[in-house]
Amino acid sequence: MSLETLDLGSAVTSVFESMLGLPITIADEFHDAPTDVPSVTGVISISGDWNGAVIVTVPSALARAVAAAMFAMDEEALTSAEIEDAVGELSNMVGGATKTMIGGSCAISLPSVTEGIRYKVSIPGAREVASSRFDCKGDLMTVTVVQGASKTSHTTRKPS
Amino acid sequence: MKILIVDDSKAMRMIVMRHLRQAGFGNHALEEASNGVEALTAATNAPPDLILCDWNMPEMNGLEFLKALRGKNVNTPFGFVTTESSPEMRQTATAAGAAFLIAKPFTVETFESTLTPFLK
Repeated sequence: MSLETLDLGSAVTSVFESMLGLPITIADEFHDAPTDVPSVTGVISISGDWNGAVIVTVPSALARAVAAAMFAMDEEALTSAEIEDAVGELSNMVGGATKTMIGGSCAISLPSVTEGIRYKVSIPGAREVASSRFDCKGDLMTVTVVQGASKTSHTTRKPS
Repeated sequence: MKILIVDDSKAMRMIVMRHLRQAGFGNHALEEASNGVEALTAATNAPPDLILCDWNMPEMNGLEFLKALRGKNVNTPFGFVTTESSPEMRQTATAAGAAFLIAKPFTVETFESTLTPFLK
């Protein structure tokens, strides 16, 4: 398995284009996603021959658009649970594709989803090994892969 | 014919149903379950003609559901629709009795070519 072969762009664009019908492009690497807008984050843990996690952070406006595409509903009619479900499934697909790219014998967790503003997802002992930003209709989505100890768990902290 | 769709994500069940319609299978009856326990009850009480099932689910996962189903001598054609698409997972699925595995993300064309033999 080689982290150098991780193609997060392929994993994300195939999900958006083939299943959601939403246009998406890889964003400029120097274009940081804003931290002061509400967002929804899905986390998938990978354990086995390789241990780590895939963290998908989606601005709330884009999360709503993703959910509307998945449920084929108007954005205004969506509930918070449906938006969390959609981001969880988006994370599941991106996490599953990442796991397949990593290779080896690994299992993925069910997604955990966090929503808020100015929060930080921390995985103790893990280090970032890949990160990409994507632009969907002006909203920036971030996918980060971290590698850490076995039995990955994460915590979400608000800034003090 | 009746198709049982098993996935803990309601969003994914909606996507699967939409792909079934777009692949030309909209005339079949569709039933939903959100985990293996619910699906096992539904499939045992009134066996469907085809089961499309996620792998990772709470309560009872797809592989456990498939094994339990076969243990009850319910031999409905069973296919996984899952992110678990490694060769090892495909081998595990086949060994347990799955007829096919559709990897997420999928396309309408994949649904059409994979499911046509089971929905004639």
